[in-house]
Amino acid sequence: MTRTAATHLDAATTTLLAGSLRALFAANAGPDAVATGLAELGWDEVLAGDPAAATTLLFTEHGRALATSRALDGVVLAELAPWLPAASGPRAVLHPHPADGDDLRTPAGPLRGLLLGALDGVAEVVVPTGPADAARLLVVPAAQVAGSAAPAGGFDPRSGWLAVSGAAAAPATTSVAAASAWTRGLAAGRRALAAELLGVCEAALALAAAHTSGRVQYGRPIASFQAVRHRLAEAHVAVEATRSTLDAAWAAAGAPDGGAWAARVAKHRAGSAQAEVMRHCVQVLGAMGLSLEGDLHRYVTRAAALDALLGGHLWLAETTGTALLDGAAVDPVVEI
Amino acid sequence: MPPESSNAIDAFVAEVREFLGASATRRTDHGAEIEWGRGEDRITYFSEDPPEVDAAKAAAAQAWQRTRYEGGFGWITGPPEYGGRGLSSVHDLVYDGIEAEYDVPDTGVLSLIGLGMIGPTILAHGRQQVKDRYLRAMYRGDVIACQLFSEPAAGSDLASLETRAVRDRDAWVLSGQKVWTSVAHHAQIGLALCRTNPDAPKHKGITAFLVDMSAPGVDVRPLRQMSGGAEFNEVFLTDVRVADDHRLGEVDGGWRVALTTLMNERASVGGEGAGPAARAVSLPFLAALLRANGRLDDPAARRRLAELHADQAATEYLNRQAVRRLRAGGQPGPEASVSKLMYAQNLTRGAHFAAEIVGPRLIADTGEWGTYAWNELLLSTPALRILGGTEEIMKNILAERVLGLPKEPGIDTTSPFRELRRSGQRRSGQRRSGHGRSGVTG
Repeated sequence: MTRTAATHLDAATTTLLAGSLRALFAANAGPDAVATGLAELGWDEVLAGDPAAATTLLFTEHGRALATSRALDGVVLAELAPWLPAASGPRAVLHPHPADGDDLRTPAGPLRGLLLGALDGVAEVVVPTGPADAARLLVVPAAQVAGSAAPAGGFDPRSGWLAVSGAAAAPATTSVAAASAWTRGLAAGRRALAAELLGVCEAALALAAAHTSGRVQYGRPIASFQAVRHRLAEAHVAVEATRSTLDAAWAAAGAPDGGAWAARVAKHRAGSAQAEVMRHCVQVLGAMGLSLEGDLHRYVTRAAALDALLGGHLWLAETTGTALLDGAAVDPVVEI
Repeated sequence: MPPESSNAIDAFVAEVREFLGASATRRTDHGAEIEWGRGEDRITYFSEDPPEVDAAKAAAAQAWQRTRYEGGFGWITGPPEYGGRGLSSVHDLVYDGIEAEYDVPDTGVLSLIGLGMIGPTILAHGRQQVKDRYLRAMYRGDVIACQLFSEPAAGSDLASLETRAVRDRDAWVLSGQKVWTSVAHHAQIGLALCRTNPDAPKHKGITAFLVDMSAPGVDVRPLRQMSGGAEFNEVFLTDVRVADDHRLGEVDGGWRVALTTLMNERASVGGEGAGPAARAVSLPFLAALLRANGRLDDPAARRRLAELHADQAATEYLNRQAVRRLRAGGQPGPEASVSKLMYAQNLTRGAHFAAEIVGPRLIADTGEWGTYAWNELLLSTPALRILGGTEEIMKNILAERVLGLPKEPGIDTTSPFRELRRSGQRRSGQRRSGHGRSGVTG
């Protein structure tokens, strides 16, 4: 990836775009409205000019607003597209089911996974299938998938995600060998999700900071007690550690494998950060952190759901540890 | 970097390689596989050498710094009028990266305090004659500097320091005790903060001086740590005369001077990377530890290894970005506190990880390679969470300056210093006559 001064997002443009994205997500009008809004912003051009900054900005704001859309599909599909036949219409991705880790279903097995939203207006669903080191991509007509999709429910009922569990894809389905494509798509998706988790964490931390600064006990704001403020400072450190691994992941994204290792580390760090940030925020909000009348629970559940997508942090920790012990070639930190 | 400068960088790289090729030998272990069970069975963080070895290492550091200086690399980003090259941060990073491939003496005794913290402070606040006299000498390796800040009764609350400086014509007379002073036993000069006006609020009655460590009345005594090292010292100042031209900044304006030093300190502590401790908590070494102890299949160990890896990667990238900003002329900001917390956390977690793997062999020296050796690091890591600003202070900085949380109430920054309650003083509201020594221990 080459950045040039002409297209690099400067601070003023970033602020402007962040404002537009916030307005777009605040409208909460659903995935199609988000797609239309992004097109109106000329997002493709922004993205082409500075993929790292644009993607991170988009997903951070997506997370901050607790928005739901198929933006993540767009990121993954951008990497997969060169390997796929021409699309007959809009596409979606059937993401691996969180319970399956990196173990993709076999091409002949039943379809199983997560959709980020309903398939209205979608023509085809792209399904990564295993084994992971020799992945094949199936292109399945949306109608074949829609019938076996049901609300995913689970920890975050507002995610809008659908769980698919159904019959095998029809034999005539397009199937392409695309191991390296899936590696790149997964890396891109993980970078986007790390940014989204950053946004959710930052918003929760801001909520906790505002609450503890305004809430007075013993005659003083509770944020002035070290027991409270130190928790929030630790949460901030976790957020900054995540931001750093994400920046490093983008610096490595130009590698032939799409910077897979650094993206995995960033998603892992983002996942463990959300666990830590939410634990601290819930504690300092006291009973208000537990009540559905407050907003914090939305961040807690969304962060946990996003953590589970494309590899939860515990699962990533264990598989990363295994890879390290097997002598995985760790990307050197890229010179900046 | 703009394209027109990449040729200049290439030329610089060639110059560095030519210099190092002529002055040093390449490391044979650079990037090599870990060979478990071979090499020195010690994992140190602080120097734990006997005094004669310690002195020899300091001399080797000074000699290498002089070689660097003569080669034109003593102070790459420094102003040419003080012996610097006037080059960019990128050049500095490039130099460090290439030098790491060579087997050269560790220059930490010079660089961590003197060149990293005191040098920038002298440059920012020193008078012309002080800059002329010391900067070139420091970056040439002739002068080692230490930081005479902390006192027995002024640790986290540095501004409550009690060492006095009293004006005597064109000089000042300094009396008091400093403590936790790294490299004081090697240093030729020390940057001392002293109370010059006890009637002013505590931050507004402090003045900074550059003290000749060989002057009459300066007494340096080592402090031994539980890890076995003696890198810190107590420094007693008894009627030490310092010329007024060795004052940094304004009279009673020493707090501003101190802030310059402290921000560079956090950046410096958080930015450390090399050394036996960093190697010991590196992934290949910890993986070798697991392998040697038959713990390769332990899922909990695998997860913790991955967590360490993620945090080390985060810290390293954070530091590179911070260094880049600093050397491009930015001021160190609160992000230095993040680096400092993460650096200490990584080494601490690495040491604890190893301690759990080796178990009781950390306590009882069985003679087995790679087991008891971890105790030095384990006993050193608590110091990392204290020195350069305690974790509690770092978190307060982040809480107030980054998260915008309200200050703790009741911290008095306006009353005259002499009216404040201090460590070792009785609570009855008694006032001292003068600003005496009753709070000083040791």
